[in-house]
Amino acid sequence: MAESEYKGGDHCNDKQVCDHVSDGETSEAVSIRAVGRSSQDGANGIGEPRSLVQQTTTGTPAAVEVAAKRVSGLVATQAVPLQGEHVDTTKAPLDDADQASCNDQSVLPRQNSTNHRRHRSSMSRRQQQRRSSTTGDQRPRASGMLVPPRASLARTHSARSDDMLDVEVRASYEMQPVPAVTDVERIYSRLDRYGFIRGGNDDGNADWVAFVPPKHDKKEEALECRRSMKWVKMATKRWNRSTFSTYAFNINAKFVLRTYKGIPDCWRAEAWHYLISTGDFQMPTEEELIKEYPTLLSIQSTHERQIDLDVERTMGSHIMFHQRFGAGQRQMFNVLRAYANADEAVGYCQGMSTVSAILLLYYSEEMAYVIMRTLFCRHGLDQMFKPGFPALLEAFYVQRNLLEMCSPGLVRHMDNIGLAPEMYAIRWYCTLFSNGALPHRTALRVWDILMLRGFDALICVATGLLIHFQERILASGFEAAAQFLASTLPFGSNADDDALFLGIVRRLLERRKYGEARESFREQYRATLPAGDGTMAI
Amino acid sequence: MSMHGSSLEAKLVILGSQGVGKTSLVMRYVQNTFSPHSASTIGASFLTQRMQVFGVIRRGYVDDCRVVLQIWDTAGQERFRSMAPMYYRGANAAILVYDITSEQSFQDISSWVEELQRNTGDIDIHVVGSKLDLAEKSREVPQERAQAYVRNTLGSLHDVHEVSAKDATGVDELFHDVTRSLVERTYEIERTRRERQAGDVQLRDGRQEASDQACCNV
Repeated sequence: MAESEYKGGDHCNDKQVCDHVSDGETSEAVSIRAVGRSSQDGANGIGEPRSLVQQTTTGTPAAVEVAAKRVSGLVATQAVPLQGEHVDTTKAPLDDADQASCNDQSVLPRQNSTNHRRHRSSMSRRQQQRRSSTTGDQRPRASGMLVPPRASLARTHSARSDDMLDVEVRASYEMQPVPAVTDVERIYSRLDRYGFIRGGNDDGNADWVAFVPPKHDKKEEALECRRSMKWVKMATKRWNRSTFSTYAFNINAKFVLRTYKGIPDCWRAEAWHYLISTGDFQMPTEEELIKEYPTLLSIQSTHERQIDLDVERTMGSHIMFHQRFGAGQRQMFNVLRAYANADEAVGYCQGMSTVSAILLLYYSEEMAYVIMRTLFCRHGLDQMFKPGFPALLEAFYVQRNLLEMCSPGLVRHMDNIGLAPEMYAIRWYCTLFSNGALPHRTALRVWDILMLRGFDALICVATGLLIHFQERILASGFEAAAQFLASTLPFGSNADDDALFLGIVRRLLERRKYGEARESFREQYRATLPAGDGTMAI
Repeated sequence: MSMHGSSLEAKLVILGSQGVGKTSLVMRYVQNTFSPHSASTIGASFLTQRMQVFGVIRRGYVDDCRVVLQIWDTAGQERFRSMAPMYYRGANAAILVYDITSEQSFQDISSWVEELQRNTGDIDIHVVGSKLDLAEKSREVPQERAQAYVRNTLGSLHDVHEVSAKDATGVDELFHDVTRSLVERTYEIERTRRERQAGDVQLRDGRQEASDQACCNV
């Protein structure tokens, strides 16, 4: 929201991209500059080099979109299903829009799109950019095809008096009901602030309903805005060539407290990056990782089939990964392939696709890979995904004992009904609590803590969840409890519930006695292992 | 599996390779919905479904039986296979799913059958070919071959089921068959146990008499 106020440097203005349609060329140039950093790789591996043309098109659909908005009155909207099996469904409206903008010779009724703008403005710049490239037509398109609408308007207006124009403009606004809506708008009006397609049913155009965020969201957004200004004060600008991170933070008590309160979404990319890349640990530098990325992509991986299966099924409700073989899915496929080639002991494990998807919401393809590598290596998450799941089993042991410390009754009850962590917690850990285990907003806050505290955060979050919902679990038998824990856990739609739950997590993570307990449980567990390997043997 | 009057609680596990449509099958049955992009199952997911089986013969009477199916829908990735025993241990029935458009997924069935037969006592195994709606376009596993395989390995009374979760073909029938077979097996086990118990009693009575006699002789 307030992002353009403090994100200077190469973070170009959204406004330019969004509002100044007249400068079709300019807005394009701007977005090229914006993606420039993310598309440094020569070839992206699927045999389709990411050429300049493609970079150019990354900008074009954004302009097309806006053009489409302006000419929405003319565009004959046919009902195009959002989630069709035909790849070209989303192309249809764009083509229409294109044509319409070319033929546009008169003053057109405009669509009132405040709702739409609000959504756009609350999303990060990168998301917007991605969004346009995901839904956009991937064909190389000559930029000349797009006649800037305002230029054509000017041509037409010269023939008429200004008064006439005013009347027409006013009339357009007063027209009720608003004429047909373009399909692009249809899609965008259904997005929540994170870019998930909400509202309306997923497969249909028939009962299309715009997503209206609940009232308290606005309040929370305002709070987040205020918080983000505090984060501005905490951040210092720097350019570290070896880490590619632009901001540095001083990790003190205040920083930790604010992280527990939730990193403002516009700061997440920077904060996560900083948290993950500072401190003492052995890793190749980010520069090296980025350099090896294209090489990794050129290697055929044995995991490709499995990755392909999962890419299609990962976060399909997000606009970025909605389109089969679209930009988002392609990036996810590449990041996972590169990771599988880089870390052969882990390869690919289900759950990692979600991790890469969430990172791709905040970072470019290469950076998503770098962050994933660093996160996994630094905090031992790779041990969790390895065949045999050694770290996962250890985590279950620690989690159980930690829970027993806090709530022995709950452990007894779960033992009685025969509910083991293996039955509900694999999904929690392997997706890092995202993809439907928790609401997206809450999952992101869990990730904030994960980036801050590492693997222990996962154990404490799992334990915290059980404690948070213990009344519900205590009241139910095996069937109900297992089903409850397998569903998306019901956090209230406002942030109070999150705060309550994260308060528990914070106590578990920050209090020394729990930290010491975790260490001793770990040692206990390692002592029970037969030959030093913790793989699952049944 | 426990029986209370004529109600029954049974554990059913769904196994098979990745992407064959295990989750879609279960979702079609339990919620009667189909989503082409259902999220991949990680670890396993748990669902229950209640249903009623009519007209099963029990103790010489026609009986209706209420069944609660506890369904464990497992992850298909090879890596999670080491966790499968946790879900099939104690299960009463297993549905092994393959994709009729993928020969490999059918090949994988045999290893599942072997593993189940080796590690579980008597689990009721059903083999299911999914994605029947794609049969015309891209079938790779002919029904006859699958049928022959099933009859060979599981016995002549078993049939392969071919279903489509997308257009709901055969899904209800499949689960109905599975449940009915579960109920019948339970009654069968109950009957043999009763007979054996009756036999035991006779035996024990005989032994009792013998010891009585022995006692008298002393």
